[in-house]
Amino acid sequence: MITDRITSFLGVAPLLLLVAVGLSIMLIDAFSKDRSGLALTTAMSLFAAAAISGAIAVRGDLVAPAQITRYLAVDQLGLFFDVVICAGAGLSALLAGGYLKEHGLERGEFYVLLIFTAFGAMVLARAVDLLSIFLGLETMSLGAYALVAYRRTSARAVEGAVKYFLLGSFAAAILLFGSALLYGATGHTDLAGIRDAVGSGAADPVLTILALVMILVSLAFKVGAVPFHMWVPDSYEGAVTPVTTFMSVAVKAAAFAVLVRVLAGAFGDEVSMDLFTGWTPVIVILAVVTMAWGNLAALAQSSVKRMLAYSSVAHAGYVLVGLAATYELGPTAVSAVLYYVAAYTVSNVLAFGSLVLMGSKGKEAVSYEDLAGAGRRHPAAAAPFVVGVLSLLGMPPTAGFFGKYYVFSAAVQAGMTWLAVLGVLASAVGAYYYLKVIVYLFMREPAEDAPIAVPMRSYYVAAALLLSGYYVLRMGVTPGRYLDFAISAATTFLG
Amino acid sequence: MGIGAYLALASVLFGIGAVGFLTRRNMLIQLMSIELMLNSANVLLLAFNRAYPGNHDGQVFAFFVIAVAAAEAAVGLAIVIAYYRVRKTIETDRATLLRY
Amino acid sequence: MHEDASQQLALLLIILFPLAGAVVNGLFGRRLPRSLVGFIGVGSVTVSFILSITAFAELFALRGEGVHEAVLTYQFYEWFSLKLPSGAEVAINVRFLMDSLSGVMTLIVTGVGGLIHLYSVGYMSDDDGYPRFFSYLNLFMASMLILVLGSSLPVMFVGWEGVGLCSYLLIGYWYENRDYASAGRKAFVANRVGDFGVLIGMFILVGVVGSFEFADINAAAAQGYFRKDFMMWPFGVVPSIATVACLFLFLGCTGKSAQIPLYVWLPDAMAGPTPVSALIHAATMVTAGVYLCCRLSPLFITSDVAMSVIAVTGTLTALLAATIAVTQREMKKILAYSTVSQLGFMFAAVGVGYFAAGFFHVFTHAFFKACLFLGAGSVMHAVHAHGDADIFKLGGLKKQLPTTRWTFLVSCLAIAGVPLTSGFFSKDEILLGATAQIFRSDDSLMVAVGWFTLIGLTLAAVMTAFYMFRLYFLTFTGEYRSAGESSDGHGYDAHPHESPASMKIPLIFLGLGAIFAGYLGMPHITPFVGTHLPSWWGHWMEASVAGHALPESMNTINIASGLALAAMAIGIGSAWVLYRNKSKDVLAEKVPARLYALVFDKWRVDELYDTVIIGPIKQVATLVGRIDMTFVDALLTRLPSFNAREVGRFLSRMQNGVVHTYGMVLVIGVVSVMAMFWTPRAHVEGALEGETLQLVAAPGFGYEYRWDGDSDGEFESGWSTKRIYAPTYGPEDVRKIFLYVRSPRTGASDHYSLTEQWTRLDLARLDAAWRRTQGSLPIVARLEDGKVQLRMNGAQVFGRTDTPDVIELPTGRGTGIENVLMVPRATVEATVEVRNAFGNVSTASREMTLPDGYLPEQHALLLDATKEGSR
Repeated sequence: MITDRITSFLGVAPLLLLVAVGLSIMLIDAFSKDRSGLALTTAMSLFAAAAISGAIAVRGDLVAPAQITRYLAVDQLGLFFDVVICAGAGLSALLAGGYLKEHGLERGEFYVLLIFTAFGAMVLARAVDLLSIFLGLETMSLGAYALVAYRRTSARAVEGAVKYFLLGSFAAAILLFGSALLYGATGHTDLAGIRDAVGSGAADPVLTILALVMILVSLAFKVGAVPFHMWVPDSYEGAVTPVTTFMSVAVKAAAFAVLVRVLAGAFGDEVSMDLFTGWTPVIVILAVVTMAWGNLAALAQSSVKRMLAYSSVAHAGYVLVGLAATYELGPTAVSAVLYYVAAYTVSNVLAFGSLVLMGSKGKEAVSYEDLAGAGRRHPAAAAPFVVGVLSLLGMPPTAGFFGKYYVFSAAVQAGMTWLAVLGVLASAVGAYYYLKVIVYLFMREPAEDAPIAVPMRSYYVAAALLLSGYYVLRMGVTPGRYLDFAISAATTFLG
Repeated sequence: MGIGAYLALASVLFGIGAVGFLTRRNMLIQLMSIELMLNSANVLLLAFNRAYPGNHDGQVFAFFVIAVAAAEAAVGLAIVIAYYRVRKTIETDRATLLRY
Repeated sequence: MHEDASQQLALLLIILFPLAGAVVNGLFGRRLPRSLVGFIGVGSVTVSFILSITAFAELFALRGEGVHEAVLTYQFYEWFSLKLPSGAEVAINVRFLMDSLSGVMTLIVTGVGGLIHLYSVGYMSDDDGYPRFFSYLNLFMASMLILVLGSSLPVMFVGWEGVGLCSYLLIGYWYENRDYASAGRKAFVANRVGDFGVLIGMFILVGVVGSFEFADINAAAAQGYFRKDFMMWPFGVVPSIATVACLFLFLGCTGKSAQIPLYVWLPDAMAGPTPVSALIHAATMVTAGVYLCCRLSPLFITSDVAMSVIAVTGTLTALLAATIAVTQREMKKILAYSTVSQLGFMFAAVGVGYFAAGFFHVFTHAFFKACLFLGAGSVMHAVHAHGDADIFKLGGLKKQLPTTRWTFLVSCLAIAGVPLTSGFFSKDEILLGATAQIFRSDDSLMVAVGWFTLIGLTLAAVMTAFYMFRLYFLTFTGEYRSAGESSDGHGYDAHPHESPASMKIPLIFLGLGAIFAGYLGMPHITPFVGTHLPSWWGHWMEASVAGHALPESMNTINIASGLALAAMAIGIGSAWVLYRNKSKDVLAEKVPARLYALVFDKWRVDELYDTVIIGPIKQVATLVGRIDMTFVDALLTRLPSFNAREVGRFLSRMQNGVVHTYGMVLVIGVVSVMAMFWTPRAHVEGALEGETLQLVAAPGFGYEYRWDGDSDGEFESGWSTKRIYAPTYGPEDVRKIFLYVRSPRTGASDHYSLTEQWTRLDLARLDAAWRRTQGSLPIVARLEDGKVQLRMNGAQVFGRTDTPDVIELPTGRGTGIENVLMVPRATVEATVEVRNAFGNVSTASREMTLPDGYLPEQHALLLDATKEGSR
């Protein structure tokens, strides 16, 4: 039946929509010089994709053809990440609409790259086969490399891209080698088959362990967990701020999605997860090291952008805390991870977006000093910054608070109280550099003859800030529905 | 030949690639090292596919890897060229503008 | 009675209007024109006053219909509820209640308050903080009304704290001045000390009565609920719970109503604007303590001890403050000490059990003291004195300020107790109460208290009349002593002028009140002549206030009135002689200089508090502050933050920008993660599966295990993936024998590893009772041929009549010695070897105590022990 086929393709409709829009923009860009509407088109189509995914998730009874589902899951988890990734990418597109215009960097390929990178991220988040994981990861990464290098006349941007590219490809090669080993150990490339083989003990243990380590490490690289995080500060700093925003939310979210799928899915059996001999202790150690290193290094920064880059490393650590609790709690812990990723997405867009807003052409705000006194001069522009950093810090009533709350309480319930305590201590360190932003905004005056950052005027940026600010507060006041979505995604995924 | 030999070959290739990536300063050579690592995985995929004759997953995978490697090389070279234009060098250890 | 369904919305509105005024003026006052700010401030209180009158009229009508315990209530909402230790749930309602007591108080607060608001419009007209002032003032009104109308202790306490806060804000209103601000702080601290008493009193009451409602507490008190003795740490058995509760509540009253020992804040509180002094520190807030006592009068009257303490404290305060007032030089200071003294009168009345009389003095005092303060304010306004006015620089003002002078004079007459003024009636009743106590009581303590109160109050009344007229004469008679001095800045304005109408009108109203308010409480028997008249006040108040009946004996009444009249006459007469038309402090020249200086310095009570209480506290605080700086700030805060920053700097230095470094770190990471899987984890635990002991080794990916159940070095099984192993044990596998001892009485247990040597069993650790029953030597145990041997040293063995010196447990029998059970148990050790996929091997051993009944039956040593152990 033709109608069946249509509804069954609805499951991948967000992906198809993005591909169509991406290709169209490529065409339009080739023939038209007018680029004023591109940012809005991009953002709108990304939001539309998010809305479609959200609607499908609410409907919840879609069957996609097996040819697709063998490689891409059409499940609540995938839809959840669709929404997070598309929302993050859409908000980044809005930021770019203001930022690129202000700094005279507007070129059509930016939005094409953004859309295809978001597409790759969505594929990655839905991937249930080693092949689609590799393809999604590469689609996403290649787009991200290009985006980092977007400001190609800037030495810093290109240097950031070079580092990101070299290390990213290295990590991708490790992932690929691990995937090949896993195929060899189990005879399967699909995660479900791998899970059966690993769980039943049929898989060759040496190859499986080598594969697990390699895959885990390369995914930890993508989420920016210490010690695989070294590319993060450099490429985040080198990239234009909207790209940094995009990478820190959408790319990272996709990486977490696949980390959850591989670890809790393919390696979700009791022995592979074991608290002492499975991947759980690895994640625990990564979480501890990541939280500590990310927060401490962020402390030493004088550039707000670089501070936010290190802070995004630290946040990866908090998410790993939730992941570590999966061994004991299963869906509850995974839902905490999902909620954290969503909360982090809106909070981080808010913080980076405020940083974008704080600068204008030739007067970009980068360091703490640039922000000195800006809150007094432009209180309306500083307000979202305050909300953003407070949410990143985890203050109620913001999204970040519940993110941290769920993650740490998952750790406590899983009997890892000490891990939660370390997490809270690390957040306390975080308070220092987050509040420093507020201190500079409101309680410092710029030094004599220092350049003064002037906030830009852009409806795009304002819209992005309003949207993300709304959701930061909304998720901080009534987290219920978002948590319910996360819980349903986690439970349907883990059964 | 048994599967062990292929495994050894792939591992050696992968090792050579990794060591090359970690020790050479020339971005192009690092790029080539990464290609070597990708190809070592291809060898592995093809070899393992022989052990599981029921499907062609490994071989299909290898085709995709080749395609992706090409795309990766394209993007990589583009970035290297952009870097060369700005900095007039392709030595990686000179790329230390961004640090700390 | 308080489940009355009829809701009196007016009660809520009475509070809400001033509150709304406070909010509007506080938030938007700066943007509103001054006239509107004043209008809102005065208008809201006026509306509230009108509402109070209507509510009061309704109450009055109810009483007229013969409803004796007439009350109006308004239940706003349930605030919260709390669970008592007894498990009872106590709902705390935001509920307002107007009965005869709170009705009168509401009228005083809104009426006098309204006049003072009106006065402030003129008085504060030049001040920059005009809206702020009215906002505070309105907030104060709202808090005071909550205090008065609250139907339960917690709601009242909200108002109680609210007025304290407003008082603090208003005393420190001119906060730019350090002294004023610190006066505000002093008031706040003194009040807080008292509040602590109120809170404790409150909790005692709810603990006993199970309700915070005044009505319930009073009903319980009337039923003699509080008369039982109870234990209270650290006092031991206290005679009556009411005494303790009342004393704590009274501590709160001494804070709020400025009694010894917490009165010191009130004189300093004169730092605030004069209307504030009039409203808060004379007419309303400071009487809250008296109000609370009256509110809970059925409770207070049950405790003679508490009542005596109150009477003596009140009398002492009245005397002390009066002596100080005699020597002061500044108008508001004198009035402040006068207020403290008059509050002492009120408490003395409460203390001798005449609550209605005490509250009547609250009522009359509100008029004349407010009038006096406002008069003082008018004088200060006239001569442009800021803060306070030195009476020795004034004089002769009756010419320039006629209205002020006449109202001031009337109020002076009233406070001095000249017949037919309001003060006469109220003060007379207080003295009458004290006299009545002397005649009524059989208890010598109570009689003594009565005498003390009577004499003390009479002396205080003499001084009151004296210092008030000293103030009056020095201010209004004689020559103006600041004429022509204004230019040098030390004197006041050379040309004083009368105040504007907005200030005069309140003065006139209050002056009228000072004369006529007293007729409400005309004594029902007129002294000397004995004519009976109806006393409206006494009749009105008896509905909600307890108290002793007024005496009927003419002797008593004549003594009291005679003393009052004499005191008034002596006081005014001596002031007339010493100060009329004089300009010098004649008294100072007639009394010893050092005594005069001592009194002038307020008996140096502040200094005493400084050295005895504040000094030591400050020293401790300084010490703690130092500790805080060195330990908390430096060691716990600075050091970690410094370290964190340095570590952070170090970590970000590792980010050296070179791709190779990044790659190397990545590879190191891979190797480290790999290393976590490199060696297997060996871990074994014993678990009981039914009757069999199972050994369970930790799982791991690709792990293989082999087992050595008795750790003799020979593996009983080959490599396998089975991680559960069930060995069997014989006596030859036993490693050690432990003697487990347990006291069933205390539940404590202990174990001893036994050897061939005698081991001492310290059984007293299990049960202190053992110390009494054990013999002179301790019990010892050892192993002898695999059997446990116990040397009893005189202890009684369970189930045996003889007292053996040594017992053996050859069949492994556990035994009981008096109140301790003993069971020998064996331990074994098991070892597992784990090999992972990489061929690496780890070993783990575990020593386990065998479960009861595990070894085969022929080794009865342990089997029998089991049976004993389960006993």
